[in-house]
Amino acid sequence: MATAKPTASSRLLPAPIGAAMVILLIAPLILSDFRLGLLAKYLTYAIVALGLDLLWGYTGMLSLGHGVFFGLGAYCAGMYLKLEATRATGEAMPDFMVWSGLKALPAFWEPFGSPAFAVMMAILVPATLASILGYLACRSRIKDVYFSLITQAVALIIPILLIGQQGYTGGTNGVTNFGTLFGASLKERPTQIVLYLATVLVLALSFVLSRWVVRSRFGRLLVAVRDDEQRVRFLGYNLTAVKVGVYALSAALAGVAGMMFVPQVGIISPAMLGIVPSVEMVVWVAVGGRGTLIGPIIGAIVVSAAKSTLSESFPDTWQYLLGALFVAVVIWFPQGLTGLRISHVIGRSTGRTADRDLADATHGTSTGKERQL
Amino acid sequence: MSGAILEVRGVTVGFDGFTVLDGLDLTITRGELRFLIGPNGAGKTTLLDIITGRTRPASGTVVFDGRVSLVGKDESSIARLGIGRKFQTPSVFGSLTVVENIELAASVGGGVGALLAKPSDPVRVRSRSVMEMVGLDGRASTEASTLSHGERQWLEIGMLLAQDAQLLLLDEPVAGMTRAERDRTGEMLVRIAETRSVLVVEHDMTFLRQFGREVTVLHLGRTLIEGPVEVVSTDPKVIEVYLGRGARSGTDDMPEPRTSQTVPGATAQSEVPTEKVAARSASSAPGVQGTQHGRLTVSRLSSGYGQGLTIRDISFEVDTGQVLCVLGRNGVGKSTLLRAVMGTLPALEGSITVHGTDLTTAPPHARAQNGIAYVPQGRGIFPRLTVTENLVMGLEGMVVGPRDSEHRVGAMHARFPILSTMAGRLAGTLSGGQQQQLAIARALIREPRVLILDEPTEGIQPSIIEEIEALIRALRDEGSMAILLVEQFLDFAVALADTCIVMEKGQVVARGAPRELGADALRDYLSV
Repeated sequence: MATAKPTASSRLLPAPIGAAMVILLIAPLILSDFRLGLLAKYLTYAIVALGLDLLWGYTGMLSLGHGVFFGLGAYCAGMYLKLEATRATGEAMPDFMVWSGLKALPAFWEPFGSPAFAVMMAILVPATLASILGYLACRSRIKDVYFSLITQAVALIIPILLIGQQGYTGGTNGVTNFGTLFGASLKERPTQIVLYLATVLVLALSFVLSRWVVRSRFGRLLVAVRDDEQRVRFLGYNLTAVKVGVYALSAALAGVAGMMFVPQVGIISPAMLGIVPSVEMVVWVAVGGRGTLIGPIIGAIVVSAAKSTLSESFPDTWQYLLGALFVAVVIWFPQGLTGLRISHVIGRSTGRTADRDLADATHGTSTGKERQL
Repeated sequence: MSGAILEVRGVTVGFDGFTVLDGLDLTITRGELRFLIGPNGAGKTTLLDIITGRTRPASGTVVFDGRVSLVGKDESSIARLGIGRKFQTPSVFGSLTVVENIELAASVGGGVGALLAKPSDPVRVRSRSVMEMVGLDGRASTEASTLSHGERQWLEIGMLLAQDAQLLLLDEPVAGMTRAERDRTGEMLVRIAETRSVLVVEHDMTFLRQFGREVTVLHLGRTLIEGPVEVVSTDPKVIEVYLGRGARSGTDDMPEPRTSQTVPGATAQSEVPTEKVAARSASSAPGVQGTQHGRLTVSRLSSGYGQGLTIRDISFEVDTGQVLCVLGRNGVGKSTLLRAVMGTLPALEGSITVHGTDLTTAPPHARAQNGIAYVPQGRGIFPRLTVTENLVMGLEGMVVGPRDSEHRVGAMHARFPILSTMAGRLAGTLSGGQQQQLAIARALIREPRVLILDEPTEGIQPSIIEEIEALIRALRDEGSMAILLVEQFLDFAVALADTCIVMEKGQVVARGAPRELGADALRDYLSV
């Protein structure tokens, strides 16, 4: 009982995480525009990874289509930015609509002129889509690998849909050529620093939210679903509600990440929400260590940084090197990077939970069973 | 009379054209502790599936608490009405601690908001009292996956209490438990039945006899007989379909789990096997003939998972035509030993040879090709293949022509007539006892030199246990293979074994012929 006590209230952020926060906060003083932009991008990925970990690492539902939720959030933000850019030039509607021969701004674009609406939609659209998908899957008792396949199918369909509706979505090119955000040029360093710091803040809030969820009995219920779905149902819990809830939360986090991504990267296109980016998101979580909250954040940053560094240094072979890295991690560190005894660092300050989460993360469950045969 | 907590009327259900329940009626009175027995395949689990909403009956009604119809409701709403179900294999949340398991069960119905907040006082109080009730209050912060088998069974019962079920459906709550654990469970059930209603599915007649309560016997989807345990256990029809002929010879009040009642020869375990062992060890004494065929020699074997050694320095030999039985409680390393022998775990020290061939580092399939056949615990049949396909699967990796293959399948049909009548059925639709026979046949079809059986009696009705015992005895007497048996069912083991080894904490602590060791000493090793 006593071990369960030191939770969110008593220690909001453990020391190593606090230290990481400090480093992230002073990064703008050190890094160039280009590097800062990259780091900001990685941090948005870290937000996606957090949400995916709630779904996969804790609840055992592997989504192979999280790129869709990230992309939908990004499109919502992109639509606002595009309208602001259009307004600045005095045009009636975005350039790509003119090229596609549209006569007027489509009705569903209009409300995206309001930033508050765009932010709301960046959260609600992914969460709603996830709720519908999750509900349909749970109602038919689709789970495990079949659930993953459905999510993958969605990641296949949505980009095709976006490409097909060129007049409304910008087609293959996506939505780009933004100018300003609230009148501040996106290319200026101060704007970039503000956006970067906002991303750090959103990541920190997402982490605190996830930690609160994971440490509550609702979090235990998620682990329970992973351990034995049938028992959860026979206890009287509405399994559909639990699964739909965590799927929607996870999708909402991905949507928020997409929303933060667009102004800093300057483009969102269908290629960013297909199967390949979706699988990459799973790789972040796997490399970092699923079932731990800090792992996916580390995984997203390390893998993305490795991708950038390798592609700069070895333009011809970087993809092979990256592939080899993934294989190596999976073989030698099945618990991910956080399995490298970082539990000593994190574990001491967060107590039992981190250690146990690590054990859960991989074969903990299976060897646990074997040991006491 | 007004106190019926559950009324099942005329329930019929079938799968694949087989009728599983055939117009079944069953009434459970409030506050009753009722037992349900019946041959494997009688429909016991299906009945629980129907009550808990997992299966919909083709016809019939199920009424809970005199007013709520359960047919058509889903599992979670039925659970919230107050019906809790314990599964045959303990199903608890392994990554959560005991208290977390219990608190989750106690928190049902509060909504997400309540789950995100700290547990309320009623939840805490109820959880604490439940943990005391099931004797796990000292284990509150232990992770459930590290509990012993018996403790997990108790935890699952505790979860049903925490969810405040008014009717508890318990599927084999004492399966795999030691005698001391059974006794504790028995006391627990009596206490629970003071305030709740309990329906227990059980095979263990001795366990039932302790209570002297009403017993319902299910057979072919109908109630065969219902009455006090003394009446039921002497009923000729029950003996015929369920208990087996051995039941007549037993004494009723032996305080032993699964006594002589169920197994012939076991009453006289101190005499009959004695002669047998003496005679046998005389015939095959210095292993002259044994070494000709498939002698299994395990020498100073150590193995384990990760860094730790789970089993240490184990040595034994089994000659052709002999049965060696490994005894021990749950968790002493019996299954680990079998894994090391089969090669799914590496031998860290020591050696394993069959018929002079060193197999210490051979992969599992090579061991199989060298004549080791393995019948795993839980049977491991392929549910979506037919019975015959399962049998032929046993020949995988052997060079066997179609004619030979047919011949071997025929031989298995001769040995197990039931497999012949069910040849075309999907193995998953067989009852537990039939699946066990199929699993043994699938191993025997290879004509192995060494046969390994892991708990072949687990969850099997008494009359089929008798058949399995007769089969193993026949195999032993045919003298074509060495047999290694892992068992917890002492009487079964004692009746068959030439030699027993007893394991504790991964090591052999006693060995010898059963009569040398003495049944009482063996029993002591297995209890507590």
